[in-house]
Amino acid sequence: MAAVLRTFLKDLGRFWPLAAAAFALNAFLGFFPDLGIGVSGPTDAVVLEVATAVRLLVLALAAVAVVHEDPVSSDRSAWITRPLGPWQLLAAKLLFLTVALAAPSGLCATAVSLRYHLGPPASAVMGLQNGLDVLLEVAAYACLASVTSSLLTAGIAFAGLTLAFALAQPYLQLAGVFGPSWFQATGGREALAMAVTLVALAYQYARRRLARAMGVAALAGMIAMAVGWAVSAVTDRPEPTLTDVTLGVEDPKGFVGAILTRPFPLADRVVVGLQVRETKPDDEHDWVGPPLSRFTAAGGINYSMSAPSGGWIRDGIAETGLDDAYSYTAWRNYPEFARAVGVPLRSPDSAVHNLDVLEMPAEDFERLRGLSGTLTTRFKINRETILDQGSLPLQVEASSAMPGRLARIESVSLNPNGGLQVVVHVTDVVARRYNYRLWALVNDRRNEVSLSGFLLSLNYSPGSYLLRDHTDQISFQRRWTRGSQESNAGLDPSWLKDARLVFIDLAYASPGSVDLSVPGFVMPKVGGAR
Amino acid sequence: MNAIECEHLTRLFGRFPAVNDLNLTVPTGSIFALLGANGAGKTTTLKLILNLLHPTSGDVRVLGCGSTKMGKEAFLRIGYVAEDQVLHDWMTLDQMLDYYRPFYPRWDRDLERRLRTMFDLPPNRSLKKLSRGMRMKGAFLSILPFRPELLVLDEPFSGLDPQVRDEFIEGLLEIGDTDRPSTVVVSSHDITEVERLADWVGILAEGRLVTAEPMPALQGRFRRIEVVGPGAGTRIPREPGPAWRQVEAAAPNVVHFVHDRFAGEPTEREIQAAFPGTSVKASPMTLREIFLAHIRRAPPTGAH
Amino acid sequence: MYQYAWYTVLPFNVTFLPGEPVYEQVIYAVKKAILSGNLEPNARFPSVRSLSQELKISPNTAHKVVMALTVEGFLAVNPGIGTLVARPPAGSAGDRTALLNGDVERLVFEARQLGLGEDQVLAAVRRHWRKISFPS
Repeated sequence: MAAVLRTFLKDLGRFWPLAAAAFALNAFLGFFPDLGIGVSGPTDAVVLEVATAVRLLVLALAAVAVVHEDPVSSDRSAWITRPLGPWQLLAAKLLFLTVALAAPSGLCATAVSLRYHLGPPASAVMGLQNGLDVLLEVAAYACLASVTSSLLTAGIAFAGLTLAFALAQPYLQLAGVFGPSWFQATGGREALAMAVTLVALAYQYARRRLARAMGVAALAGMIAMAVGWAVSAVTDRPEPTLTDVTLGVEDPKGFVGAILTRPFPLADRVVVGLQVRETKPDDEHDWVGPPLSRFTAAGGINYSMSAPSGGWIRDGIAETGLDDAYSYTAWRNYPEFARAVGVPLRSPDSAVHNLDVLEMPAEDFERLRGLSGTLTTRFKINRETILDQGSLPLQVEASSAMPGRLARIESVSLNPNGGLQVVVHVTDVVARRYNYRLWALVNDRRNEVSLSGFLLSLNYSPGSYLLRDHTDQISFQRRWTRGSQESNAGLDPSWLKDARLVFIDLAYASPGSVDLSVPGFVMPKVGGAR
Repeated sequence: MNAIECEHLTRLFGRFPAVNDLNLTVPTGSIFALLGANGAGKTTTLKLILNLLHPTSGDVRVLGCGSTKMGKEAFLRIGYVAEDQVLHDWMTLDQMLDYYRPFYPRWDRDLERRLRTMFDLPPNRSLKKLSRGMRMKGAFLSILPFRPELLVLDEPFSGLDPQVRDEFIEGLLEIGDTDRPSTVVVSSHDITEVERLADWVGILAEGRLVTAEPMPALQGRFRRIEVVGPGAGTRIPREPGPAWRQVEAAAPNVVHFVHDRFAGEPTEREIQAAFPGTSVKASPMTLREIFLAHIRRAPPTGAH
Repeated sequence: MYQYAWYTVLPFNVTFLPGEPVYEQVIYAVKKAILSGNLEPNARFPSVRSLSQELKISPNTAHKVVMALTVEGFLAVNPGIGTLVARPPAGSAGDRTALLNGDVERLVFEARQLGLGEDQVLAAVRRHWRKISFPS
């Protein structure tokens, strides 16, 4: 409608500097490597932190200012006595939020992705996701602005909401743990938040009654949750009987966090996950779980863990603050563990990477004892580009079913003590916070699998673009037979001959992974065949 | 159909009734002056009429439509100018008019041009840089050209110099049409401005309507009475009657009071009868004096 | 007391005294103008709109004025041409005196208050009568 467009253009005429500033900051955060800013020095990190914070502030200010330009909760607004309907006004404001704030950000994301050779389809997806994220953010601020009439009151309301949100964290986590699958699925919570935001915004514009708008928003939220619960009650898959190490259906219950899936599902390949349940750091837990081996960083130390008869070895690292949704437990029996696997003692605090500790309560393990469990883990991730730390490979020697990830097998070699060492050069897009990647060697003929660990890396705060280029050393040492909790030491060449290297990206809940075939892999000879 | 009909209109702020069971009718085509002291409820009443505020109870019908149901169509015919209304004051006059003009299909560009010439406003300076008078003129200019059937003005004259006030009134009188009469509701402290202009008067006090009637009727029934004669001061009746207000003896043989039901000769005779042997002079009162008489109800003083 | 300026656009003068109904004052002024010959018969009389705008009165009031004057025969509405001044009706001498009633009453009251006698007032009237020259 003409009225909507005219109002939008009026707002644009007034607030284009803010929109331009947000766009400039987006561009800066997306392309700063090209400007020669690395992540080496502390000043650079500060610059990026500041830029990220300022970008958020500018977006918030723009959203609040554009709504306050024609206030909805004031009896002095000029528009109320003009032939401009509240829906038209709301449409004009949403148009501004989309066109002036969300779309440029999304376009920036697309541009950055293209610049990092992510290909047009993936770049488009990146842009769309980013745009929707920004839209949700600014819509939330717009909501706040619609129930206030000055920047000061908006600021106070925001502080109040932040406090309330902080206080509500434990309850939200509970919802996160026990919530329906859609709540934890990609965009589930975002969709709910967007729906509630839009309903509250619409009601406030239409009726201009603050208390009722809040009530309506709360009601909408509860109805959405109720509907979701009903839907998931019908569609949630029952807990599968775990009989196999195959990497099959994931059990959606009892998960901590949720993975934000890409909107375009990939072909099913492999899913590996681990059932976890949230616990408090101080609780004592028996560290139980299916066999899992993991490694830390470039140090290349393998830790593996198994459940010996009559007891089990625990490991893990105490970690807090990553995400309250995750639970951590203390190292216990580390020396015993280290001795059992014959690795040098290493202080858990010196681990370079932050490892997630995956655990389940004793009764769950008892249920699974005797079974090789389905390992399913779901984590909340988002897609953003990452910092380019070096030169990027120009040729891809391995195909990738996941756009945005380039991997090249650099070398494959046998470990002296009977394992396989694979060096992979990966350029990939890393999640906002977490990036979980799992390598596995699968031997179908022998019905065995060897797993590497989860690699967790923390990246910059939301809103920044990071593209990572790095080399991973992946070691495979042990293997497990299906149906057994016992790990068999050693991966001998004959085992390896029938193995295929599987790369699993746990960023994709709808399972996404790729089979990386290792072309021309020839079993190196080490001191004669075994 | 009346332009505005308020029925048992009440608006509470917390527990304070700013408007208290108000029953007000504004006839179509009238220029209605709404008078009242500060805090009497004038602004609140106008905001209730225009749906800027929601009533606590009661209802309002504006141009035949319930006030809370007024939408785009209703506001094509309504104009509102108030001092506390927040304009987009970063805009220039030109920008503001360019923004509002397309909303109104009946916008009269000729009238706009005439008013622009009359108001003599700088087109390219942002509104916030203009004086208060110029800003109000600008607001007027964004309202008058679409010839609203109902024009609501909340204290439009306050702080304006006399020349600007004249220009306002001229502009206001431009919008009427013979086939579509314009109704104007003006709330003002400036009683002298509205005295000549308005043909209806309503007086608000403490959220209630004390009176609402045509201006000539109000002016006709109020008289300042001066009774001069020997011993007049001693003859003041103990119970003077409801129409006598602020009765006092200015001097032993001079009595002053206000009569609010003056009907010409019969009333004069009545007063004469109460004060035999005196001369009675009944003078018309200005609207300001009438208004003050409503606000101050001094008890009648007894004889010395 | 307020006095408003002479309006030269209108073919008659109005001095507004607050307190008296506006329409009565305008009617008075028009009648005075017609009876004194300042407004001649068949002259164009301003439209309701002009009256309203020039005098800064409500169009309703202006309409009332024109209606009252038309009913009393001072104005005549000609379709197609507009409102014209009509020949003042007969018996206007009495009307003229009646127009001054208010002024005379006020003069008498003030004089009585000041303690003046009838002769003194008449003498003052005569003095002023001779002083002011009027075109006939």
